[in-house]
Amino acid sequence: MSGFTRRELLARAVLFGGGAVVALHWPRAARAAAESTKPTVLSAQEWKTVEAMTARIIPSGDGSPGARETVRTHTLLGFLSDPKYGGNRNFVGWKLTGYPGPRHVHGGYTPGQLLGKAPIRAVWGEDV
Amino acid sequence: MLQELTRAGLDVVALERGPSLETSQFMSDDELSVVIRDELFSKGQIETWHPDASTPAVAGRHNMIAYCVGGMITHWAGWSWRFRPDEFKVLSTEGPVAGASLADWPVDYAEMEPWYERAEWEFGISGRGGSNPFEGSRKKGYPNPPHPPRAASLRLEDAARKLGYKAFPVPMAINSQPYGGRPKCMYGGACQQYGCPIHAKATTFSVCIPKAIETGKLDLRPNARAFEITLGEDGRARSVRYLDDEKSEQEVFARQVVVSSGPIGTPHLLLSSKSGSFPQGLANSSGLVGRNLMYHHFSIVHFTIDAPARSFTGLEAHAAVDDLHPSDPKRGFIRGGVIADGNPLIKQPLAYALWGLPGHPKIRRAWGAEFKRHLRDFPRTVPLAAILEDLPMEENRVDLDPNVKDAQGLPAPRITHRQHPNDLAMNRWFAERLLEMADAAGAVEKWPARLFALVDKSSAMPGSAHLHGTCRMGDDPAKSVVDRWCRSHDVPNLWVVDCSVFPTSGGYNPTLTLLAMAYRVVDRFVSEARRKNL
Repeated sequence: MSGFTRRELLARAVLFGGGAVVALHWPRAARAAAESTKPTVLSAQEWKTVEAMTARIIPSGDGSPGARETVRTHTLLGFLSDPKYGGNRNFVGWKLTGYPGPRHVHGGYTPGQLLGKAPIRAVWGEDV
Repeated sequence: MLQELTRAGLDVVALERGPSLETSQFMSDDELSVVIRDELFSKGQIETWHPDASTPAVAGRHNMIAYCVGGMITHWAGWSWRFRPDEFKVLSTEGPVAGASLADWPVDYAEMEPWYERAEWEFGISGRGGSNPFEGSRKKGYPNPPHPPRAASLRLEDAARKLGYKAFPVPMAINSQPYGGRPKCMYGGACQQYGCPIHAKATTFSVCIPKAIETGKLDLRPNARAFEITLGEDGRARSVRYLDDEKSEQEVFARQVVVSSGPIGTPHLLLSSKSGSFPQGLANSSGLVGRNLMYHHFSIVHFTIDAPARSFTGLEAHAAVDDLHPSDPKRGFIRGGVIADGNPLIKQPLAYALWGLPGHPKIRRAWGAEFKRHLRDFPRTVPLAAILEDLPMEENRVDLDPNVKDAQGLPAPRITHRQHPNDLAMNRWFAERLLEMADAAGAVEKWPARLFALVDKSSAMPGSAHLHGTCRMGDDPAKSVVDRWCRSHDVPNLWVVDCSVFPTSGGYNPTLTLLAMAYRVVDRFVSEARRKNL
């Protein structure tokens, strides 16, 4: 019998196969998160509450991804995608990850930049 | 094939199920639409997969496929190795292995050598000839010099020196200087799973098809989904039936039929072409059409360093080590594979966050500040990947799913696949070596990336970007589907030219071997056509 659990399989299906399903919904969620003025970091107690709630709505214990994993995937899609999709506002996700943005359209990288010896001007105008 | 057939003056109709893409569609390097949603290259893809017949098959888009003019090579990364001599003779080298259907190729390295050279010079491979001490002898070096290094590849070279390995530049089908009317690479970083917006990356789309179109001998029909090859009363393939972009049935008649639909698409088409003579599918008297599907398997380790790694720049991989590749049964498994500083998971941050970080010992439950810290490590992360030979097994196969249909109403390809125990032992062993290399390279933290790696899985991967097998080549019609010229044993005017014909997978990316095989086969095809032997 396969050691590749149904949970892992479905998690992959979300990423490779069902990506379109996730993607249909994420921009709205990401925009809502970006426009919210409430703190985005929860306290430990608040987080426990969220976990308990999501676990109750769609439990992940039966081997398939639950609401918690789906929220996580949606959040990352919104946080790290090109801002043209509505998330990653002011390049916040790319700034955190030190990713300067897609490069072909800006002329690529020099050998010095490949070596880490020259800075890279990111799409938001700062060096990374 | 198209380039050489049309150059020889033959009239060719090419049916491609996908659209004809433009380089302008490749310019954005947009990770969400191209990699995560996979909207550009495999619209309509559906496969089902299960590890064995007793488990229900799950529908999905498991394998990395491209439906477009040019095919899967359009979004390849360009790694261009020659197989070692023993990789063509695995059964003779190793002897039989329980549970595996090892076989020798009907060709050897000496016969392939001039065709490797031809492919390297047509595709403008960059590299340093003779720098891989484990490669077979070569008459000629590469047409282009190696690419400049990046910070991450210098770390691999450093680790190799400390461990007594010999690092060398990965041979790449990407221009390090202008070549063949195509420009040099800009090092934008988006190769694997992306099309190249400037054709610095050599593909059939950038090298061969433009030449074929120039001859005026190519009738190229995109959005044409072949669904049946018909058989004439003389036992020869007579026509190909296909659905056009308005889902109308069309039929094209041909004197020769060459199938190049890949290790899933090719057996799918042959098995769909049933007739009185071939109730089990066309060219399938051996019963082997669809069998011996191989995936490769990958050990992947990521590690962080205390300086910029710049892994997101440049090619997918710059430096390689092949010292662990030669087979050594004392390790507890046979065969092996090549190691390089490359994998697509850390070229852009989404793949890194979703697929590259899982496997990190602290990330399993990490949210909040801990997770944020690991996201911040993206620009200091170095990948190490081992591309590993998997053993063929007859029960690993592609057939027609009895339940699931695709958008055009045809049965979905059903994949039955699990890894041989030898693969699992090899994968674990290589993961340990990669972790040692990470330490030797000065790793701050290190972890196996779990998407492709089998490190702690006991069985199968549902998909691959390196598909092989399913119409293996050989001299014995009872044990193979096509002969040494990729020509069907059963149907004399039917040819299969894609990775389906590989009897074993080798521990290197397969494409250069396929290109060499195609140049070899089309040379035979044209000379036989001129002698009126086809």
